[in-house]
Amino acid sequence: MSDLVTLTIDGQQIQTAPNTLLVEAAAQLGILVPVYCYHPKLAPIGACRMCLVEIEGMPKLTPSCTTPVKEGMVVHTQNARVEKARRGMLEFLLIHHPLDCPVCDKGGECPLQDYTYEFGPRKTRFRYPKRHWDKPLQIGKNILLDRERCIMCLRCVRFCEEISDHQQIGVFERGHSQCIGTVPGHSFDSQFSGNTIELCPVGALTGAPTRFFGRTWEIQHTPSICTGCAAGCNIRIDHRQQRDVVRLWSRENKHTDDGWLCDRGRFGYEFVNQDRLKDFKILQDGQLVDATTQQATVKAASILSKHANSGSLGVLASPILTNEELYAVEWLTRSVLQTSSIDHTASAVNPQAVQLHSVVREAGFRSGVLTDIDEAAQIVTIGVDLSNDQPITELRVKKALFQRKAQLVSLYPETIELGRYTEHNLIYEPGQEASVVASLAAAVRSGGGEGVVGQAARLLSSEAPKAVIVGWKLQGLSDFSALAKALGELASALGPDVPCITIYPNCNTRGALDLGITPGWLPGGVAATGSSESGMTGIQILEAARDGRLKALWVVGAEPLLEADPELVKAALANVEFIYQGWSLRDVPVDPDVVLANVTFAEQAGTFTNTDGRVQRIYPAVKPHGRSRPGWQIVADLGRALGKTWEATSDQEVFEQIRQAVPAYSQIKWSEVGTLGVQSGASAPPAMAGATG
Amino acid sequence: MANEIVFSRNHIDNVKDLDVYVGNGGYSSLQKGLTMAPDELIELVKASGLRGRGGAGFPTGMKWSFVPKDTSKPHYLVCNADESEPGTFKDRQLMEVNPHQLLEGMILACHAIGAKTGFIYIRGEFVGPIQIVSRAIEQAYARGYLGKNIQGTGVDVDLAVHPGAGAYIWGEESALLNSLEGQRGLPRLKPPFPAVSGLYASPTIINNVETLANISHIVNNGADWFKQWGTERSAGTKVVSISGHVNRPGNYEVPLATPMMTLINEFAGGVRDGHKLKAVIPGGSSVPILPAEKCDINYDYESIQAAGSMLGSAGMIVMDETTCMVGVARNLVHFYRHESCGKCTPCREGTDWMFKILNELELTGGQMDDIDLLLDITDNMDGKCFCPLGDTSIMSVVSGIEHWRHEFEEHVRNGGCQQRAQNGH
Ligand SMILES: Cc1cc2nc3c(=O)[nH]c(=O)nc-3n(C[C@H](O)[C@H](O)[C@H](O)COP(=O)(O)O)c2cc1C
Ligand code: SF4
Ligand code: SF4
Repeated sequence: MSDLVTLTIDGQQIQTAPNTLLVEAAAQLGILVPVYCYHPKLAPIGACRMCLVEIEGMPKLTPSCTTPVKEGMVVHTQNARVEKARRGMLEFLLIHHPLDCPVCDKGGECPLQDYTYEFGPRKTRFRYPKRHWDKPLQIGKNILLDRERCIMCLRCVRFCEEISDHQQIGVFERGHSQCIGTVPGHSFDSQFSGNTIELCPVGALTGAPTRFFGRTWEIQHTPSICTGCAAGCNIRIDHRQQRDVVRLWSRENKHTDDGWLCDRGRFGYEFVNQDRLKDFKILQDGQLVDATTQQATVKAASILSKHANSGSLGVLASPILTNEELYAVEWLTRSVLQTSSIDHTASAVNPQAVQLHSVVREAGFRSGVLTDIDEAAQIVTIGVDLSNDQPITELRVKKALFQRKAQLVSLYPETIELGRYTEHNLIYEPGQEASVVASLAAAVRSGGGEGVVGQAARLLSSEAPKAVIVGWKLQGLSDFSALAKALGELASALGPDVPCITIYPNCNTRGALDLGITPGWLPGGVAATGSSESGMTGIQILEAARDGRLKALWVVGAEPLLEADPELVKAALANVEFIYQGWSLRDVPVDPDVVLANVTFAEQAGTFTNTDGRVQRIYPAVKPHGRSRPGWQIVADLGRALGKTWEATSDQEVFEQIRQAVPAYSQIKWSEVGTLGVQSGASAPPAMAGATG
Repeated sequence: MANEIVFSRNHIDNVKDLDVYVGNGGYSSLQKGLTMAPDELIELVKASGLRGRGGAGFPTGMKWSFVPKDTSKPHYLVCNADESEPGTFKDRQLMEVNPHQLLEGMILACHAIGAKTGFIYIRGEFVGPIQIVSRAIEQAYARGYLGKNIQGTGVDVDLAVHPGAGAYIWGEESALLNSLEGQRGLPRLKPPFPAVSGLYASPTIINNVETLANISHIVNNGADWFKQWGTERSAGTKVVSISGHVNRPGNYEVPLATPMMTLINEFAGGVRDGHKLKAVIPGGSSVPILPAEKCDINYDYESIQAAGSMLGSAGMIVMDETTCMVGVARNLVHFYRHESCGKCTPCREGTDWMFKILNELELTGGQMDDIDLLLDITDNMDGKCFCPLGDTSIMSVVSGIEHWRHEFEEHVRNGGCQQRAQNGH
């Protein structure tokens, strides 16, 4: 306790950590001090002057966003003097403000509006023409700027300087002519631009795709998870009366997103609103026609039963389906249909590299989680360009580099965005991954050496907390065993307990792996034996279908189809009995024989497992379109039609079964998953048997 | 002449030339000053009672002593020659006439604070001084007064000129540092203070031209010699820039505590012919205006403060009875509105709003309640701005209404400024 600071705010005593800012100490007491420029994730600048408070013994009012607590301080945040200053500041901010709240996206959730109601003047005393600017300006693909609404808090500019380092916007002119604008020669096309919409405390920055989405008070919010990549960013789905999704908003979870979203995720929700399948369908005389759920289920079941147990069926299930859906698909495929050709991807993955997170653990690394990056002084990225592969994790690495001066070593075939911040760019010819990793390992062991590798090794041979990040692109290597060996050498060179984080491509790739949606692996990461051992991979399934070796395909979600050569996909689908289960036919190039209408993530409850094994829940935000249903319910119906009853009536019940099947999930209590998720255990069984060999 | 320090060589023809300067005792302080221990030098300047001449009047020796002794970072000295305060034009003459005196002071100051590098940040519009000081630096390098091992003392000092790019706010020391670093010239959050973390986050001392110009004389002649002028709290002499309605405007170096009326009547030749003194801004545009009846005071820090104003940058603006005080306020607020950097709300918006009201009062009269509205706006700015620019932009309005409220009211009643109408503006 002794290293806490004791002070008094509005008559209440508080003990708090040294260096706590007054505005934060007040918040700890539940006292609201209004702020505009202050934001907990940005360095304080003390510019807006909204947060002035009185400290006894100080002649002037003091900005509480830049002043740390001091022992014995006596602070007043609500006396007449402070309130007059606050009212005055709001009046200054409003003299040129257009007061166009009725047509402003921010209206209803606007701190300028809110504080004006709470603390502000009731009437204007300003009698002159207001400042005018052309508006709105489209300053980037996704961002509109209304300078008349801007209150110059500079949060947007500071985000681009301090967090993303995409310095495409800045402040121009000065004084009363000052304005935000794009840096000459740039437009605001940062893939993180959307965060400034949330940071902007007024309606000066709005989303081009979401402009005029509706009135905020008519919008409901539902917690969910972004399906854009495997980071598992927590989001809030904003929707109108459960009808359509109008925007996605961040929902801070320090384990995954740290409060930010990338534009791909933020604006990538059209698939929920557009081109949706509302009905089950069957193919009749060359035409897809609407069918009852019953009719379509029966027809699909008859196709499946025809090919069950015969090796002539292939199953592809999308890695953006929920764990519950994937678990059901796996159950029907292996247990009911006795089929072993099941995969979640149609890109080339070396069979030895499928369970990449297990491979690195076998190599001697500790199973890493994203927050390990926050502790590391040295970060090694191997075969991954986070900019593309997991943008939010790139921000986490940038935070480590900028705020903690961590150092980076990048191994990649080209210079990546993060490469700007390091001299240690180990650029290699594709195919040379194993030898680069091995030579780095050797150099670290010998404490240095020649060239870039030697320099990087000198850095890494010092005692400092490290984190390694590996990417899924390595899974494609034809000579993966050499890389696995090299990773082992690197792990032992770097010393014990270095975490390694695996970057997977899709929001539930990790879940698909845990649930056995991959040939040769059963749920729980157990290597398959016996008859299920020899399933085909996604590409092999498509090729076999094209070549007539498979007679039927059951495709759940179109994502795997998008990964393969379109000609192959077309030829394959046209050549078999084809059951398609999904939310849209947009990416399905051949009319299926049966169409089963599945909901999207926005319409159902369930869980996803993110890149580092965090299990997180999604909640239904909008109502299912037409008669579409959650995938596990469709599968249960198929099972019943095939004479196999599967007992599960809720997502929770399915999850309980998953817990039984997947040891790494066995410790997870449903009640604790909540809205922030739970880390799955590292207690997966030894995975390498027969894999790295 | 006997009462001059920094102007004492101004009469010497071409003293800006190194040979002439050296021939008249220039650079003679270096042998003594550079062989003193830095701490001794700081103590000497402390003992002299020299206060910063840039405006705030902070004791110079004390400021130097704030530089941490135990850093591995380089230390810097920065000379603030951005002189942009309306009414102030002394640094310009100090640089134009006697640039080596400044360099000599900077070399000593660098030694005192452990800096090997100094920058002279000169207001960009000062094309003449930029050339003259740059030439002096070249000469000093050529003759071993700058560079390595200055005059065999083992002390190294490099100096360079950096021209400003045209904003008043860059005279504020932390904005100046940002500008010098190539950033947008906005004032910085304090703490940390520059002495601890200034230029490139390294310990930095910023001093005004006149402050630094005094140093060689203090080293040559001692602290007691310096204190023979002025008072206990206002030691030494001061260059006062006198402008406005006087017969002989110009810079005059006088002992601190010289009567203000002596400055106006004797040095500046009195109020212009036949007119009566109405008001004086004693220390540059950022200080309150004193009405004539309060001007019978000594020109030193404490006396001017007691009278309700400040010595500031010693830019003394003299106004006779023909002056319209609404016009004065309008003119000065226009300046601050133009120069506000825009960082903080009250200065950015307050200067704009004040100007709009004053402009209307002056041109078409405005409304009677505008006067109290103006005072309320100043109250909402006073002490609430990020930096002193905003806080002091209200001075002419507050003191103007305090002493000449009737003039503001007449403007309202008359639908604008009568004088302006008569003069056909
Ligand atoms: C708006 C503003 C403008 C200033 N302009 C100048 C200037 O032009 N020259 C100057 O020496 N000091 C100026 N100052 C004061 C400096 O911030 C600083 O106090 C001074 O340079 C310190 O030097 P000194 O201790 O030798 O006086 C200004 C301050 C403010 C707030
Ligand atoms: S656009 Fe928004 S975030 Fe940016 S400075 Fe203006 S008010 Fe602040
Ligand atoms: S008071 Fe505020 S706006 Fe004005 S110059 Fe200082 S920081 Fe800039």
